[in-house]
Amino acid sequence: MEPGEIRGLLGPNGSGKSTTMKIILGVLKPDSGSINVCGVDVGSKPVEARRHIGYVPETPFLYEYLSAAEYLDLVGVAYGLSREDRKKRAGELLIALQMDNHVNEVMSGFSQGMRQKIALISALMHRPKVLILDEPLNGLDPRSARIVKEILHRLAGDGVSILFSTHVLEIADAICSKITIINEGSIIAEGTSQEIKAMAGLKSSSLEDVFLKLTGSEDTVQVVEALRL
Amino acid sequence: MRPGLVITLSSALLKSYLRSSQRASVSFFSRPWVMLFIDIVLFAAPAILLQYVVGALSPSIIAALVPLVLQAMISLPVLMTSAMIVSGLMFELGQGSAISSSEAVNWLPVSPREYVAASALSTSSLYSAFPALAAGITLPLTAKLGLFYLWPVAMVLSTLSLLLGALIVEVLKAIMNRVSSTVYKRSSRFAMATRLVALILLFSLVQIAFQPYFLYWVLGIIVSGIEVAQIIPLVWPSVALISLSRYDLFQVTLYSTLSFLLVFAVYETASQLRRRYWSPVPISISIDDSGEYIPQASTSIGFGLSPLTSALAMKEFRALLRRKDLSRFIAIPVVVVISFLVPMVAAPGDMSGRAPGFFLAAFIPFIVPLMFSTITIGQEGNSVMNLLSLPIKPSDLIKGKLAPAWLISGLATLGVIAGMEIMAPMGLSDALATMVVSAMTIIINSFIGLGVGARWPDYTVGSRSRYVTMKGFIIGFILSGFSTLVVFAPLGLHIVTSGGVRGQAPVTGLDLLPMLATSIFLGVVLIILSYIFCKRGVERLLSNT
Repeated sequence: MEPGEIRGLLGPNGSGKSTTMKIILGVLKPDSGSINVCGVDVGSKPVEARRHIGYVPETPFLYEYLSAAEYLDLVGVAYGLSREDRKKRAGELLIALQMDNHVNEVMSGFSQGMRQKIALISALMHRPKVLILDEPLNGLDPRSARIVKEILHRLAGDGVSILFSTHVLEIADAICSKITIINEGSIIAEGTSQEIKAMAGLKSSSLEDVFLKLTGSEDTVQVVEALRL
Repeated sequence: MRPGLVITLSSALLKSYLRSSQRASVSFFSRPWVMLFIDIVLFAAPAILLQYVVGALSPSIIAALVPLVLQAMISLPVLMTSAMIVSGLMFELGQGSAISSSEAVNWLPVSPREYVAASALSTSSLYSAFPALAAGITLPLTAKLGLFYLWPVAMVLSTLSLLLGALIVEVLKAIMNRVSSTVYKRSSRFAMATRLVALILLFSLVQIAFQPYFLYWVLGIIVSGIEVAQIIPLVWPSVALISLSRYDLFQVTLYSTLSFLLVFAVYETASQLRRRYWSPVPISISIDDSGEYIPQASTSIGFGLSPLTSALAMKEFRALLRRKDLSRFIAIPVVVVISFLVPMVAAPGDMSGRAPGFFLAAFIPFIVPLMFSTITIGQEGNSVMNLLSLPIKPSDLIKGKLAPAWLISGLATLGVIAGMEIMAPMGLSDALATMVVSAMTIIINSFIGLGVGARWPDYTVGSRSRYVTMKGFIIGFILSGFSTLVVFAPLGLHIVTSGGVRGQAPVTGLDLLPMLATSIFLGVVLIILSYIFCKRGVERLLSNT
C-alpha cells in the first residue's frame, strides 16, 4: 500500500479479511511471507510496528468496566502520548463523535455504536501512519458514519494509509481508491473500482454485482426461491 | 519496559476486576486507593489489638508461643505463594475478556514484559490483604517474643512470594491460552470431558490442601526438614528465614538471592510464553464430524418432560458441561463431600455414630439444588432474550431449568448416603428415610433457588459470576436453610436421640415412623409453598419481556 491510499478489503464471511488485518498487526503469525509497516518488520518487531498503526477491530474488545476516559488514558499511555496530548486529542475526538457526555461512564453499559466510537477514538488518538479498520462503520449513526468517512478522506490526504473492510459495497465504491477482493484466503481481484469492473466484464454494473460474480455467489434469486418463503 | 504504562495498565486491570466482581459501575470499594486503605486497616487493627493481648500474657504462655510464632513466620512465604496460586487457579484463569484478557491490548504497542508485569502486579494487589494481615498479626508477637529480627525479612520475602505466585499464575494463563485452543481443535468432546474431570480433581486437591489437618502436616515437614526443602525452589524464601533464625547469614544471603533470582526467572518465563502465545489462535469447536445438520428427534427424555422441556433441560446440561465458567459448579458437590470426609478420615474417633452421615446427607440437599437452580437464569447472560422470546409456559420453563439440579443433587445425595453407610452407618431404615426426606428437600430448595434466581438474576457472565444478586443469594440461602431445617428436624431428632451422637442414650417417643411422617407432611406443605414462590417468580420474569 502507498501513503495516502484507502484500500478496501472485501470478501464473503470467513474469507480472511479480519485474519489478514490481525497478521498485519502482528497479533497472528502468517503461514508464510512477511509484513513491513513503515519500515518495521512486523514478525520480528510487532510492538514497534504497532506504534505506527491504529486499529479498529470488528468487535471492539474493551475493558468494559473502565470508564471511557480511563480506557482512552490507557491507550494514550501505551502510545506514549503526553498528558496534554491525550487530553487535547481525545477531547477533540470525543466531541466530534458526540461521546463527550459519556466520557466518565463505565463502558459495560455502552451500545455497540458507542463502543465502536471509543474504538475509533483509540485508533486515531496517536495520529497513526497506518489505519486498519475492520468494518468501522458497524453500528454507527448516520452523522457519526459521515464524520468517520470525512476523517478518513482527510487522513488519506495527509498521507495516512488506510486498510478498510466493509460489507457495504457502496461505501467501499465511494471512498476507496483501490479495492482488493479476497475469497478463501486468496486475492481474486485487485485494482480501482473501474479496473475490477472491467476485469469482471461488468463495466456498467454496480460493485455489488461484480463482487457476487467474482466470489461465485450470483445464485441469490435461486436461493430465495428454494426457501419458498 | 515503561513503568508508567505498567502502572496504568495494572491499575486498569485492577479496576476492571474490582468493578466486575462488585456488580457496581464505580462503587466506593472499586478504587485502588480504598484497597490500600483496607490493607492499612488489616495491618493496624490486629497489630494494635494483639499489642494489648500479648502484654497481658504470662511468661510461661509467652515461652510456649515462641516455637509456634517462629514456625508461622517461616511458613509465611510459602503460604503466600500457595494462596496466590490456589486463588489464581480458582479465580483468575477463567476470567472473561471484559476483565483481564490481553485481547483488549494485543493491538496496542504493549510488550509482553509490560503486560506480564502489569497483570502480575494487579493480581498480587488484589490479594495484598494476605501480607497486610500477616504483617499486622506477627508484628506485636515477634516484638514481644524476641523474634523481631525476623519480621522485616519475613515481610519482604512474603511479599516477594506473593508476587512469585502471581507470576506463576501468569505462566499458567499463557499456557492455557495455547493449550485450550490446541486441545479443543483436536478433540472437542474428549477435551470437554477432560477439562471437567481436571477441574473437579483440581478443586478437590485444593480443598484437601487447605484442610487444617493437611496443612499442619506439610508445614511441620518444611520446618523440620530444611535439608529436603532446600531443593524445592518455592520454599527458598522460607529456607532463608530458617537460616536467619539460626543466625546463618551466609545461608540467609544465599537463599534470599536465590529467591529474587527465582522471581526474575519466572517473570522471564511468563514474558516469553506471553510473547509466544500472545493471542489465542481462533478456533471452531466441532462436536460432530458429519458436516451436515441432522435434527435430533423431538422426544421427551422421560420424567414427564415434554419435548420442549426436554430440549431446554438438555441445553442446561450442555451449558454445565461445556461452559468454562459453569463447569466449576459441578465440582462444588464433590468439594463439599471432601470437606466433610477429610476430617472423618483424619480423625475417625471424633465422628463415630450415625449423626455425621445424616448431617452430610442433609447438607447436600440444602446446598446443591439451591446452587444449581439459583444460577440457572442469570447464567444465560445476554442470551436470556432468546429464552424469553420462546413460546414457553412457566411450568415448562421450571421443569426444563430444574432437571439438571434435580439429577445432580439426587445423584450426589444418593452417593453420599450410600458412602456414609460404609464409613459411619445410619442403618438401612434410617438411610432410606433420609433418602425420602432428602428428595423432598431437593425439590423444595430447587423451587426456592429458581424463584430467587428469576426474581434477582445477575446476567454478568465471567469466572467469578454468581448469576444472582447478593440480595437474592442471601434470601435464597435463608429460605432454603430454614426449609431444610424444618423438613429434616423431625427425622434428625429421631437420628440424634436414638444413638446418633456418641455415648447418648436413646430417647423414647421419637421413633422413626412418626418422625418420618412429620417430615413428609412438612415437606409436602413446603413443596407447595415453594412451587408457588417459584412459579410467581418465573411468571414475573416472563411477563417482563
